Amino acid sequence: MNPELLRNLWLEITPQRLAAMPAVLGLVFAAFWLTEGRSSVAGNAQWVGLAIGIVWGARQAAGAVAGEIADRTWDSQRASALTPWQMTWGKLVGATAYAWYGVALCAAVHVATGGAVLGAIEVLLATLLAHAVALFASLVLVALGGRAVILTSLPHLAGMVAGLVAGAIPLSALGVMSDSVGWYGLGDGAWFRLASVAAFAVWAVLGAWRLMMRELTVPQRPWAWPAFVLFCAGYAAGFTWHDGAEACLRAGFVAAAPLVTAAALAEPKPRAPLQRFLRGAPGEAPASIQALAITATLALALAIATRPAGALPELSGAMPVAAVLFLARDIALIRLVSLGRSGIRGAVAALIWLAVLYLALPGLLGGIDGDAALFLFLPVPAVAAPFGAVALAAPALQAASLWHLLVRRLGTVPASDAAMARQG
Amino acid sequence: MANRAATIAVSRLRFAYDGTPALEDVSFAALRGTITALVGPNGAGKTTLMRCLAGLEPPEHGTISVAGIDVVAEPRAARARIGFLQDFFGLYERLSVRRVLDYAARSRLVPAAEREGRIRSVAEALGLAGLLARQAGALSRGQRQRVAIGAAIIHRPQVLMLDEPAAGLDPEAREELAALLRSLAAEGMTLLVSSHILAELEAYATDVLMLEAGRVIGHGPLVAPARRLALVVAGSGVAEARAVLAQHGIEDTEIEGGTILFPFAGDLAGQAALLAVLVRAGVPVAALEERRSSIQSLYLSRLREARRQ
Repeated sequence: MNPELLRNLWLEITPQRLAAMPAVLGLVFAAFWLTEGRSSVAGNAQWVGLAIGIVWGARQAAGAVAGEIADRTWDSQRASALTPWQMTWGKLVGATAYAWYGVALCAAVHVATGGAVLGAIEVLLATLLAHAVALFASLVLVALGGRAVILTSLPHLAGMVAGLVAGAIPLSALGVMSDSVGWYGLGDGAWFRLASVAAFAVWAVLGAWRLMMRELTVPQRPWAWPAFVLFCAGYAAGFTWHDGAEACLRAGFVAAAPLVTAAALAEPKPRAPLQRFLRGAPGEAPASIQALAITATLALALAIATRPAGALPELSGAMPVAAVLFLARDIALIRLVSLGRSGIRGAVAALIWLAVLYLALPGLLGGIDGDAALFLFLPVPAVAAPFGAVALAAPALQAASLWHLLVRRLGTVPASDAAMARQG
Repeated sequence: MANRAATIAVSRLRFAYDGTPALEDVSFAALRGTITALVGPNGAGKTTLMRCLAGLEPPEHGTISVAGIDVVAEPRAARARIGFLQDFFGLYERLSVRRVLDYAARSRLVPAAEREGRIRSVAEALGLAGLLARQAGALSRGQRQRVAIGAAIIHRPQVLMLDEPAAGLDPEAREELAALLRSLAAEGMTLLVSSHILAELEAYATDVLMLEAGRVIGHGPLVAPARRLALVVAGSGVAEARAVLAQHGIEDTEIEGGTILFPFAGDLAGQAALLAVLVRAGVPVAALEERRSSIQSLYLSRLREARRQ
């Protein structure tokens, strides 16, 4: 048996706790039965299950690694011979074992009292997604470093949001949307949304596993993040399938572009790997650069596919390429701002800079009728710039300047290191 | 030394925290069955070196091999052969001592058939046999330290690294720890032990590795290969004593106040004969004893030398 799972079960599952959960849930459901009637139990069981899985379970998943760090046992675990996969699912299922016990009981009550099996599956998948996102987010923050309260509370929040999105409000909207437009021509919104939640849950588990590899310093090839970016682009494109290839490319680009900035903010920023990458070791490319490469490919394809007289002229011409150049600038900016700052402080400082560049300054220009200069801060249609090439030249110049500054600030790395990295 | 297989081999290791070097061009080797005392001032890089060796921190440059395994390329395989106890460690407070050791054994690939026996033998070696059922959270500091050491050695690692292992232990427990470390080394385990209490390291270390500002300033066996005697002379008899020694072929002498230090190739009988000669010659001998090169004196002289450069 997975030692990490077993250890968590020793801690989470005790005879007293095993007895307590059905006793408490029994009282809750009996109260619903008595006050609202038998027919209310199924629906309430679903909601209670979601609450246990998403609110409580996500807290457990978020604290699975942060708790080890706080208790000074994390390095001892890292120094063990456990595999990243054993560690990932041992924590994902083990730390949340008691919550899963409660969710399983609620799902059983839901079905037993006349609820749809689909509803029970929804609860289970939403719980899995919430836990996986919480664990993934906690590992992102662990790598960035931060106070214990942040290491747990932010991932908990992320897990709850993911679980709520999956288990509650917008899912039905997503289902309706799928029914109306057809995702890649497929209908049946109910199953589509379940499949979507399952797919994103799998990606979150995969992401947690990859981050666990990094925590355990296990060498890895950089394929997971580019694959996720491609998946998101393909997923988004499915909703515009009926509008043709150009619309699909546009949707894919719009889905991929934010993932560049997200990766740049969330990735750890040690100097040495970036130095080696800049010296010609592609295997050392940070996640943000990997995502940028895919987004740039989509942007070029979109630029080629988009005709100036297309259906959406505001997106025509070089605008996607300008957006990619701004993203390249943002990566350098985030790296520069993060130099000498701890991970989370660096990310927050970078966010403030991005808000100034993308919101405050364009807003200021708008206020003084300076729209013609917007191309300095936002990707704008070529027709909106004084002349077309400037719309590209402005972000290109900014990106080149910041990357030049970043390279200088990073300092030099001996050529032998770059050679070693290439050989590796 | 280079011709013998090293259990730990580090070459040109460099590590930096966000651009600030913590280890620079560190190279050394530790042979099987040795106990290397890792010494250096605070911030010298001792803990960072141990963390790199344990595969917890990937180095920026250089190679680390433990039991013939590249720690950077195959960290998991290396960790199965390494035991590591950090200065600041935690235990699973709500688990019993038995389960703490059981989890350590499982997560370090001890075969199921051997697990119970390992738990028992480690508990006996560390005086934990009567505490196996107790919750880790209810243990004293010294008991916790012993449980943590037990968890680090339960898989019988080829390399054991201990960062300040005697912290929190009483004198008796320290003596027991020294005996345990000596017995582990005698079984072929290679140990790297960091401590600020140099006298304690002398009780079991065979080698010393000295760090200063992330660089190695000294490394080698702790006891010099040749015996070295210290002749303590009362009053002003130093010159007279040197003359007598020279008459008997001992000319490579070093004076430290009223003490004359010199290499001596003979055995204890030869030492007794020399003492008799000195006394007969009228040298006011206060003592004639073997002088070990202590970690303290080695360390301080190397440290001063490194800081002068």
